[in-house]
Amino acid sequence: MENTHILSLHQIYKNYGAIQALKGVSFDVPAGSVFGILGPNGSGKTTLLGIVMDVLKANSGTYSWFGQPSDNDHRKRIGTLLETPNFYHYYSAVRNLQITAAIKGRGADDIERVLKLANLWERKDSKFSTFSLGMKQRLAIANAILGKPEVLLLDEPTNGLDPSGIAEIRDLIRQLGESGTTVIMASHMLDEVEKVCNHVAILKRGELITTGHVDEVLADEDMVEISAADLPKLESVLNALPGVKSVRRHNGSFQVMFTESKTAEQINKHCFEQGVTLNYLTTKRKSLEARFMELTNN
Amino acid sequence: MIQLLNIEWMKVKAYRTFWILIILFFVAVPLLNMAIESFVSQTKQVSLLLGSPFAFPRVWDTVAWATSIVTPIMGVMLIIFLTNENNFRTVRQNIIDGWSRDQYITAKFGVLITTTLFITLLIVVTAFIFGLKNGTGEATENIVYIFYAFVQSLAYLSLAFFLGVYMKRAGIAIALYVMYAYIGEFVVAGLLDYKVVRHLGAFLPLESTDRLIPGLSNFARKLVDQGNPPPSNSTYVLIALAYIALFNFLSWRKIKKSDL
Repeated sequence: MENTHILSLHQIYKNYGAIQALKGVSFDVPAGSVFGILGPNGSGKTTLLGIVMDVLKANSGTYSWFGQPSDNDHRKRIGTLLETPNFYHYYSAVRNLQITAAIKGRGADDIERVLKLANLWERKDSKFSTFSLGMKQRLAIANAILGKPEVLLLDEPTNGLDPSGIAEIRDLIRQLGESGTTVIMASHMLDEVEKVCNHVAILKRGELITTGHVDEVLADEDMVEISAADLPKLESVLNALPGVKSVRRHNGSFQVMFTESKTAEQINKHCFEQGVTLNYLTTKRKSLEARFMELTNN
Repeated sequence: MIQLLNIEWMKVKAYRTFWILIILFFVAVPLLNMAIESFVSQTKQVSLLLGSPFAFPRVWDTVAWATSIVTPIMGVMLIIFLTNENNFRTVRQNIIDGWSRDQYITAKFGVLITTTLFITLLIVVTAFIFGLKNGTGEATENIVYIFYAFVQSLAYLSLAFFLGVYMKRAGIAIALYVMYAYIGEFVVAGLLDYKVVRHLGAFLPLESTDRLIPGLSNFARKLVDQGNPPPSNSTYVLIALAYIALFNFLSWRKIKKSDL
């Protein structure tokens, strides 16, 4: 089970007229992973998910679910929230979920559980058109987890939710991930992916930048902030230090990146031996935010 | 197929707009026929001119013709039903939840056929009751009009189906449909017939079936057609079937190929 792929993409291309939304994207989603598809707005995340759910047609390329060629019955095993909650406006929450259960061929006895989980049980007989944005989103999540699917595919699942709602959804995703459900989640919010995902693929303008385990892709690099009275001398000393990748001036101090890890003691000792007394030294882990910007902005 | 239709039924069984339109149609058909019957039977000159159109066997033709005047109500229902799926993006959700595109299309064609059968059945029952009431004549004669009525209803609804699939906005689709069904085609057919070539108007999708079931307009049509024999009924049927096939093929292709 560990080595099988739930979803494999191979060279997916998609154009909207002259605009190339996806330019040959390929990656695999391992079984049992919580897989984040990360990218800024307009990077092609929703297009990609639309293609693997057969609501959008790729110009070329192939994909397979569960290691088999595309088949609509596969989608019955996947709980999906794609872009916006899509429901019959004139129907109640319960009637809408009944229709989903009828199409999926399962989950009709699961409606009470998912509505309670989504805090919508009290409003189960209210028309969808009377729901607030957050309630619509929660109904969409209830719809996705109806019948306990093997795979969850969520596009911006915390859209429109309040902070406590966001936390609840993250907890839910984490729990489902721990219980063995494969979760594929698209998001432009890095901390969301960082908090819940163990694998990630990063998209930028329709191209795959990188993919892999979250610790590898968003690998933390050490950064040291350092200052001394004699800044020009400090700069030359730092540049002479082996293993330095870059030195950048920042608000009267230097931000130094290393290609290999250095302890604060090693740096302090080196500078002191070269005749510079430091008045400020702190090590910082480079934020994931910065890493993400680096990956997507150049 | 039954399962697909069952899900389509779930989508409308508690939908108020659906029931209002169905009931409106269900009530309008017998009432319209009653009104026409009274008009014909209680005015002596009209009665002499038209004979007894509500007695067997002419009643099949007459009731089918009168019903076709209100059939667009069912076309409007179909347009709303289809544009709802686009506007609410539930067509997307149906596919996402596990229907294939073919299943979605089959379900919709199922609704189209079911609605056509409903209209045809209502015509048969109404005609039968009026025929029995008016006594004389052979009931089984002209029974082919039941088939014609089916073809006509299917043509009217297929046009609505086509508009419902291609148009995003229900309002515009309904306005186009109603305008075309009541006025547009009458105008185009008139111009084609009398400014271009006689009987060319018969090659329009709804007009072909209207001429198949002339009803009370038959006497006027006969006067106009003197010296210019019209196409045969089988020609009308073939024209209508060709349009039905075209509308449904285009709808199928759109749902099958496009981004939803």
